[in-house]
Amino acid sequence: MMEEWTIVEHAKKGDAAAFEELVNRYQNSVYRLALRMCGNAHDAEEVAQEAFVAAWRGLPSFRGESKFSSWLYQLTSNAAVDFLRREKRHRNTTPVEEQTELAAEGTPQQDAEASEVRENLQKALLALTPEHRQIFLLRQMEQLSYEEIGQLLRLEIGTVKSRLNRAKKQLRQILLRQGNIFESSSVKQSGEEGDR
Amino acid sequence: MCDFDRIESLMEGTLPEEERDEVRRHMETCPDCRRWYEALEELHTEVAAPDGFTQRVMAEVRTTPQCKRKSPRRWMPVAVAAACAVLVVGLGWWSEGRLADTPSAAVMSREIQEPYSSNDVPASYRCQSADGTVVSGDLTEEQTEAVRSWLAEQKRAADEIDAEGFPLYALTGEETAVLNRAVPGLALPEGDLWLYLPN
Repeated sequence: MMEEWTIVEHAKKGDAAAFEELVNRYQNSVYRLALRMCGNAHDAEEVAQEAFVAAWRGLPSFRGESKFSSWLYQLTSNAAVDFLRREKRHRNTTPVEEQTELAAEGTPQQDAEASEVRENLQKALLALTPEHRQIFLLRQMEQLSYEEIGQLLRLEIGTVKSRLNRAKKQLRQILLRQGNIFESSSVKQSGEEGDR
Repeated sequence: MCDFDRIESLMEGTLPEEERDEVRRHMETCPDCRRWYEALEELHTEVAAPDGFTQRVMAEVRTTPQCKRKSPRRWMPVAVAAACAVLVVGLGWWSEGRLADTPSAAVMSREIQEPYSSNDVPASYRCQSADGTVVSGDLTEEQTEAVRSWLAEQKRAADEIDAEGFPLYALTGEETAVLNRAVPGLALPEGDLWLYLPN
């Protein structure tokens, strides 16, 4: 399999076949990020497609200062934030049947429980502001470092950390409230995340 | 005791092995931590893009030109450039014969040209035609609003974001022609054109 940097170099010069290889490699992760940002499959596909087209247009300017995947996820989450602002849509649920997971199927009960977890997570994500959702997903789902997020979003690392901590705290509160469970007084509140 | 950071580390596989059993045992009796773990697990579950997604993307890509030039970031809108030119000339005159420890006009002029508040910066364009000629200009407030509305109607996303987080749009000749027809009085040059919209 060709090294990714070689494929990117070809695509930068206008090689559509090389770019198609990149689309094939990243379509699932880009779509997943768009889905978590937007909350429904229709908008997620539109955003994911916008992100890839933006990547194609902007590739000649991509200097390789970040990983290609990090840059692509930044374009995706920015496209989603722009989309949500333009459309001013706020979906509260992700239609479960629209999401095709690649995980192995379990028993009907396991599937039903997984479906409930998925729906609750998506509702909780949509309760965050798009900007908090973006940072949370880039960090937790795509595993970008603070430095990468700061570089891509042009934020100070301190700002990345504080927004991320706020997003996680808010998300946990929503998720736990959904389960009608209150945090006990023995909960250790996380302060600063450790550097990773 | 609940420790959400350790739950995350367990999920990511970075928790030291000697701590994993302890955290797992804790989750068996703590619904809060179990719920957080399940949410993170769901977050990492792979999802498939819809059937035919790559084909639809490539259909659009094949009719979309790449931006061949890097955006000329931080080009200075004409109005601000004119003001800076006056100031630089004035400083040059002022600094002549001054004491050695005063900043040179060159240094001060560089400082003046540092990024300025977006509130003072008009929307602007820069266009390089096929023969290499560069034409740039500023938009009036009315034109800026009209262009902004047109971009929103077209659902046109920014092509780049500059260092301050403001959008840059790379318009093709065709897009520029359509925009010129849509906004009365706007006469953007048709070529490789960049639009900068602060605020």
